[in-house]
Amino acid sequence: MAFNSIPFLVFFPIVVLLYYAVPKKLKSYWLLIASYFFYMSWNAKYAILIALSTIITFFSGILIQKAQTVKGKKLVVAASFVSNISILVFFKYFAFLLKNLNAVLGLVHISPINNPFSFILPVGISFYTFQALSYTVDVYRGDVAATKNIVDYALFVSFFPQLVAGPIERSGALLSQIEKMKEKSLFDYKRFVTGFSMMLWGMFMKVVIADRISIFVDGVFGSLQAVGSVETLLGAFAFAFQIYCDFGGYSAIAIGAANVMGFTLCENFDAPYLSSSIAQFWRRWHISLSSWFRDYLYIPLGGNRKGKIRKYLNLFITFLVSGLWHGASWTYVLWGAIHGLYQIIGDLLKPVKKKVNEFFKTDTEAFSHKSMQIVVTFLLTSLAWVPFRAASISDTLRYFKCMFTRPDLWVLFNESLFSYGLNRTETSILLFSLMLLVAADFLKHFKKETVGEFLYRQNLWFRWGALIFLLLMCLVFGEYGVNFDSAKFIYFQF
Amino acid sequence: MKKIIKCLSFSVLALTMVFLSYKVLSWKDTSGAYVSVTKQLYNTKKDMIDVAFVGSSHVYTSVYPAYLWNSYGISAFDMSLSEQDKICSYYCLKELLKTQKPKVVCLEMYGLTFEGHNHIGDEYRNMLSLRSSLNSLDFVKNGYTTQKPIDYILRWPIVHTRYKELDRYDFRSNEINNYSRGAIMGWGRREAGYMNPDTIAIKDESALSSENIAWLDSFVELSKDYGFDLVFFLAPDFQSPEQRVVTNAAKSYAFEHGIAFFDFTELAEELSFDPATDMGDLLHCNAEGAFKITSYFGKYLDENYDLVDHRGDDRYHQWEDDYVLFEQINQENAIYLSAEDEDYLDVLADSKNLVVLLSLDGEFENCIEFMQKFNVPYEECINGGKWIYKNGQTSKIMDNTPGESHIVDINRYDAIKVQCAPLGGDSMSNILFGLDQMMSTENGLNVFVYDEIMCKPISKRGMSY
Repeated sequence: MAFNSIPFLVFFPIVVLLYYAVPKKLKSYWLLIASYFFYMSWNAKYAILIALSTIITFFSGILIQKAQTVKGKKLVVAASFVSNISILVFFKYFAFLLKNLNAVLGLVHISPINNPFSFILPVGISFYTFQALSYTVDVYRGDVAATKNIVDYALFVSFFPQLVAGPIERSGALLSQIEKMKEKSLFDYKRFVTGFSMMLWGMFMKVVIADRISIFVDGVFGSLQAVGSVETLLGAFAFAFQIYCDFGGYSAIAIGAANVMGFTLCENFDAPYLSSSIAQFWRRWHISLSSWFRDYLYIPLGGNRKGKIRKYLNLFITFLVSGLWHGASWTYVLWGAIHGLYQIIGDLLKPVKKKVNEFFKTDTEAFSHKSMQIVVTFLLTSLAWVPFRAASISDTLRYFKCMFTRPDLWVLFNESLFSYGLNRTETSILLFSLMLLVAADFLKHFKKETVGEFLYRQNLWFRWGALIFLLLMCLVFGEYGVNFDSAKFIYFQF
Repeated sequence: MKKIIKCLSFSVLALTMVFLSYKVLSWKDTSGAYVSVTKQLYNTKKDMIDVAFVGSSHVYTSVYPAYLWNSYGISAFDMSLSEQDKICSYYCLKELLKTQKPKVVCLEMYGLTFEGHNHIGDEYRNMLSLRSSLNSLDFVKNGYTTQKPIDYILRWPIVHTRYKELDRYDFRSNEINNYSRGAIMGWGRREAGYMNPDTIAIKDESALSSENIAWLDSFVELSKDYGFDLVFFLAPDFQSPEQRVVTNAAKSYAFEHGIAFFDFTELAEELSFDPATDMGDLLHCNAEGAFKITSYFGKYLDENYDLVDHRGDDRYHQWEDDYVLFEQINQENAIYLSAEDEDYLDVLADSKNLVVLLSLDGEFENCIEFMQKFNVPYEECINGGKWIYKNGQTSKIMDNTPGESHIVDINRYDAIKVQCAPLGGDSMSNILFGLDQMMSTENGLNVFVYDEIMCKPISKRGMSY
């Protein structure tokens, strides 16, 4: 049941109405049932995996708290990690590992091993596994006390708005809200209205922008025999917006849905394409995952505390793992590696940039300088998205080859760009929608306000008009229904 | 409480906007020039239809209720859709029976020869033409669908992409739907060849498929439940031998159930039906063919049923208007067929419900005599000018004064602009309909014709002598 599906439009109001109707003591039970129903609508049997992960990490928490020695605590943490990561590796990476093993075996003329398993990737497994593991570490570090209420904990792991694609919540934030739910009503009119607005805005990002722009992206990435520099550059920019609107849209709906029920989820995107450096980009893109990797991988590896070379190595490892987390393919690993290199090179070049700025007496606070930084960062991130979207490493190389060796400025004038799936009307709708997106990101960047918060501040007539406008944009210009065969939210596959 | 009222008010406003958007986006028969038989049915008052013809395009091209009205005063209606399939025809009739009590229902048999649809547009037409109701829900449940049933129930997932093709009749109703009685009339001819006499002579029968038996049974059941007489017929159709044996089996079925069956391929000779002149295309009759088929039905209905002659009854004005529409299309055909300018102008001079713009431009002296047909005195024409002729009345709208222009509103939506070239200027005299140029000659008589019933321009011609 994706957010942009008819069943969800029925499911969500029912859940919300009953959530507010049932007695406080039963709310967590109701939300847990709803969350499992939500998850099981994809594949019922995979609910066992969440249940398993929940049970392991729940009891790990209790055992860690009860363990008398640090060694004992570490043993439990290790057991929790090994068991959870094993499940993740088995379901997500087994075929990938076997494929690579067979490639190596082929080099030494050994016949390949057949894959005895054929299963589809459990939706959201990377998200809930990481969320559950963060609880184990948080209890180990003493950041939170182990909960003794398995229903609350199970709801923390499976809370449906963020179950399949995040944001990856920390127990300190979400679990405490779940526990408080029994004491006082979480209903808050402002949060309800902003939540509803965010859901609409997220839906707009997904069905109007992401799914529309994906038609152009698919056209370009699927025509590597025909495209030149302009098409590939535009294709890369387009994919940058596609994935932002797809995943950012999902996060906005998730945060909005939680808000409607009185919960606050962590922010996941903060106008990422207005970042002035790659390092800043990663503080604004998929914030919940970046901070997870920072807190549970980069810092435990030593972070920047053990010298420059170790810092760079830790950074590179973190980004490689982040790439692999996104998918069992070398293209994701390459994407992670590029970002790792961006960070390392950026850090190495800092003194050079400083000297150049001093030499040219550049005003680094000037609008032009900041704008240039934003443009360069966007260019770099867009180039890095190419392997993320390409079907293979060879396609990636071909794509870059087209981008840098086939100048074709005339396609900007001969209207051939309309032959990649978006005609003039569709392009106009897209450009108009992108303008709204940019406006919303500026709002976030400069005013530190989400669309929901901004609308709540406005007069009733403006807010209602804007919400109805968004509703109609989604209903009329959304890419869904007949004639549309969209990929689901891209991040479900992670 | 205040907040609840706010939420409810917002919901009502949002739903209203969604509903209004749906009205615009809802499925309409775009390939059929936004003419919708279901809208025509919904625009018909209760208990008006005495005879219903049900089936595919074979029905609406071969049976003209306007003929039956004009000759017998029978209030007939073609409940027919392009590629109407078996299941759809059943539910269409049920929809008609919600408000009407026909005494006779004539079911066309083309549906026996196909299952499902080859073209998605036909499926949409079948599935989306009826209003949402329990009947349409039941239809979605049982109909031929390649899409998800929920999409047909909600409709929005299918129709929302229509923003790509919106046209004027998405925003306002096509007037024809207020009174037309289902027929789609046309005088175009296309020789259809002739059905092989050997095929017509085939008397063998194949066993009817279970779907076909169930279909015929369902109509027999309906006729018993609603108390109407059932008639089967096959419009002129150039069947294959395989189709012929199915038709023969249906005839036996009709015979067993005491149902009249008219096979117009067999009756062709008796009706003097000539495929060279009576077909509009390979599968459908034109108005001449329809006249023969409908006349046969008229005679049969008149002789076998005690149907009331409703002519003169104001409540049946839709049938009267439908006949006017028929005459209008006939008139349009006559204009279209007038190759000679004299004939063309004669037809226009005798016309009804047409707006005829006459414009004498440049060197027009030899065309002045044509204006006499429209009762314009010679003296009035000497200096040229522009006139509007309508229903026998002519009025001058402007002289050929250089640089002047004049706009004539035809109705709420359409207007014509006439302009004279300025002295020494680069621009020429012109006739503009919307943004389209309608001037055909710089020297002589320009004619532009607008159909007031169909609300569209139908002809333009320039005459230079």
